[in-house]
Amino acid sequence: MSTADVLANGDQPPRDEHEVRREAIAWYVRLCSGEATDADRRAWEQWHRHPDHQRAWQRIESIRQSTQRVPAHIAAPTLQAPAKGRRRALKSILLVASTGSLAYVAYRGASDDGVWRSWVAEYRTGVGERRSVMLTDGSRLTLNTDTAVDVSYDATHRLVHLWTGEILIETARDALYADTQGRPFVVETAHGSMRALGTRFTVRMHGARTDVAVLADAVEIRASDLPASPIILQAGQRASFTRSHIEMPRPADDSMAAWEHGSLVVDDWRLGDVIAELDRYRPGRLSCDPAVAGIRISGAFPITDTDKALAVITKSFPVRVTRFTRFWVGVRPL
Amino acid sequence: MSVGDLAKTDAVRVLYSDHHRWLQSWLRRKLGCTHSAADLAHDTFVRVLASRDVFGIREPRAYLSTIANGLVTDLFRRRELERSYLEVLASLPEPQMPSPETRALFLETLIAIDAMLDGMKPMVRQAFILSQIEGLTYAEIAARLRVTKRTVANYMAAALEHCYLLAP
Repeated sequence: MSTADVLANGDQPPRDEHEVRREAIAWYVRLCSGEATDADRRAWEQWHRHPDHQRAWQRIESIRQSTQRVPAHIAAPTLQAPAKGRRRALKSILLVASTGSLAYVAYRGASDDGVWRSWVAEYRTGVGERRSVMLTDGSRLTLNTDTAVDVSYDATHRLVHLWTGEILIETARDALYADTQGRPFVVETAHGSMRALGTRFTVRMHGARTDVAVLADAVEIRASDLPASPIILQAGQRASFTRSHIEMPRPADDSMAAWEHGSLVVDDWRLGDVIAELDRYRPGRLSCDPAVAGIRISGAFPITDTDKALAVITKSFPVRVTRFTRFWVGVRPL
Repeated sequence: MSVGDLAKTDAVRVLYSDHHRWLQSWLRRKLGCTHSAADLAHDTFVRVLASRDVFGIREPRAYLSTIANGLVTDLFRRRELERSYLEVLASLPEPQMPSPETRALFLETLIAIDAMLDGMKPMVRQAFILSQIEGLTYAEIAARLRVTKRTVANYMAAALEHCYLLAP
């Protein structure tokens, strides 16, 4: 390399290729760990200034990109099937599923009580996944991203316990008990229970509270510390509750369940809230700079492809997206 | 095209006319399928044409069968991958099923990724997939593979070293 080239690099001398490669790999390994700090990111930015480092980083980027073109729930089980005897792929899918990547179902306690076999099923989705299951009575349960539920049916109850995430319930008339009111359909969370009064509604575990939105008919909510004072939420209403308090109902509409069809529909939301919502659907960390978090925004965004959603946002607003790795993405002012 | 290129094309032509039939029947015995044998024989010569030095070949049949053997391995690998891909697709709920075009694109990409991962130690490969495709943190991967986070970081470094040399 000539002196002129060296000067063009901005008084940064060229570096040994092997060393640069080692450094680039070490950086990437650090940034993907899930424990990288803002200080790490700043140090990486410093390192990335050197043109030789940028070239090395481009190769790392191209590796990263090649692993991102197929959705994880397809790529992971396909590639994880052992190279010898891929025929056992199905087995490995089940293995992956049991650790949370794909929804799975496990039956237990199938004792026949004469009328109805009581059973328990667990369903899970990973980040970015959705899944719809038909329950034995014809009710439909749809799991949004990163959700875990247990479903247990017996002769007297239809019970769904939501551990984490968000679900959409569409109850069916209980055919087996058509002559009576049918078995009650109840959703439980850490904060209380919701009894469906023949209905379509969403339930979301949202940190220290549970959010319910009723889209058809009605739902009766009981906070777990106030079992004697239930409130009834009608179609078009939503409410949040904790163990000891149920908030005043607010209006709700079908957009609350737009995720069922792969969209996030927002009307006059803060950009920061939209980004926080999109973050639920992708692995890693998606953050919004406070300087732009207050921008008001309306529209529909694809949650199945959050990169596309981000592209739409950057086209419409004075913001840009910065990526350090796939798992570390920020929305910042232009 | 330079004079050198012309000479090379000529050398390959001679190689082709002398050994193509032999190579094709050699492949047919291995694959049990005339059609694939013809394809791979063709691909073998394409590789030869792309290689730097075709003039110094002393044992043409050994040379051709070495290349062809690599292609056979690739083909088997590809078929196995395709099979597991189809099994994965079959297990998806209906609304998540990608369109036929997308399915074909995904398969091509998966074959490329699989080739990139080829030769990695199983644990290294596993750690790389869990991190880069599933997006797990090292703590989560460590729990899953029952190793320490430090070991996961070492696996990742080994995997990236491996990919780095293959990356464009």
